[in-house]
Amino acid sequence: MSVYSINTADVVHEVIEGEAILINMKTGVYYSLDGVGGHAWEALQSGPGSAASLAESLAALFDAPLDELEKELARLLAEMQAEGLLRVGEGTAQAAPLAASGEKKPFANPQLVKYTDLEALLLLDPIHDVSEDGWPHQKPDEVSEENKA
Amino acid sequence: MQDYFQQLIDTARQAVTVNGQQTRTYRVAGRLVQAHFAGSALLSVIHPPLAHLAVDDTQLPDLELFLWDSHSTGLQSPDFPNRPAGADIWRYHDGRLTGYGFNQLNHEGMMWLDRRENKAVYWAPSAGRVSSADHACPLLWLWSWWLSVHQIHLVHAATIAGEQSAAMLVGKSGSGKSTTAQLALNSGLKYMADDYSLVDVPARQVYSLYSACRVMLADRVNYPWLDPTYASQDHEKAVFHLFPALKDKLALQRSIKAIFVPKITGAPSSRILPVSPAQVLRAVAPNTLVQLRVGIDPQQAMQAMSALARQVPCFALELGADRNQTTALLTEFLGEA
Repeated sequence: MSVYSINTADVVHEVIEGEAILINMKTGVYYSLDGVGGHAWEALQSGPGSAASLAESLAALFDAPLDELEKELARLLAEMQAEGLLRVGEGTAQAAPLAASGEKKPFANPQLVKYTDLEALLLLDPIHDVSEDGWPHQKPDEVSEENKA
Repeated sequence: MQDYFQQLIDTARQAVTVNGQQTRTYRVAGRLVQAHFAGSALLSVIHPPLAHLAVDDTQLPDLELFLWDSHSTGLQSPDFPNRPAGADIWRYHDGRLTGYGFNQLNHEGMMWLDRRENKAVYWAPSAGRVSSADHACPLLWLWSWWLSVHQIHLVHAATIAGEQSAAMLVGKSGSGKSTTAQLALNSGLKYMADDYSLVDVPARQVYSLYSACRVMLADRVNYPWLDPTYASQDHEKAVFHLFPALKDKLALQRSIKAIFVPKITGAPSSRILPVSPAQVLRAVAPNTLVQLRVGIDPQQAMQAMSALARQVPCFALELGADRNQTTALLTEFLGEA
């Protein structure tokens, strides 16, 4: 079973009023997620989760069949992994269930809204990390990209 | 790396003896910063945008800063071991020391902060090669690193103020932040920032950092009241030093009454409408964090901006064409009418 966790090395994130705002600091692209997606991210903040475990948790909040929730979450999680927001691995889902309150909310397919207006800022001014090992040196992935070119 | 930083400090101390040490003390977000310039070369570039923060205070500073350039002092910066060609911008960060350097488009320089010793260094090959951004916003990243230690956050926001309180304006370039701040200079309102503001979230206070503003060359004709403060320009923007000519229009610290997300609409008049804290966070956080991505804890800064958006009323500011109506609306909002 694929289990997803937040890519904390590259992603800065916050959930505010049910909306998750996610910034990929490596690419400069940022995202928003609300509704089912915002709640799914909130659950992932407590630990890794799978489409099935998140669907089970969100079924208490949204008026939707479990299998539809799981299908839509599987799609969303794969999309977020492709955007570098999540890491995927094998293991056990640990995300804590979300607390249900009152009536279930109407279900809408979760949408990852993507903003690319800041992307150029990072592309124009790439910053090279240096360490005790020496002064500006390229990361292995940057070197390999240059070699490809 | 500590040895390298010590070499920088030693060279800077030596440099300030060459052309005569010029010391300025600034109160930055309530903290004292003592800046030792090596002669007048860098002083003439770095000091004017900070001049409104200068104080006569002989207490022990919270931060000691050394600034020198090689051209006027004849003292080079210590060599970097293993520095490869081709890296235009670099950073180093180990929790205690943070460094940042650039050599790009004929501009070159670097800055370092030692958080434990509260000492910082700024170097440029010559005053003429200081980046154009540093002419209006000098030492930007250094302030960001150092003040974040004190839970003061540098935020990409303009700020205008009344006598008692302030409104911050957040959003990407071109949204109307700077326009609104510059309009404030020609009204009963006060100017605090057109690009970067310092925020103490728990205290709900905003501080001015720079008294310089930048205006696109093509737009300069729209702000004739800035003309007496003209300082310099690059191919794109003119820089104005508002202090001392417009010192009565500057405010240094205020409580935060509201956050606006401005938008230029082209409608005849401006109006203010409530928006969600999420909309404000989306407008301010990515801009701030992508720009200031070196040497701060971005997740901590994100949480601070989120806390600010939750505790302060949030509004959209739809900017219309009538500038007088806009300033009247904001003046009334800030209780100055």
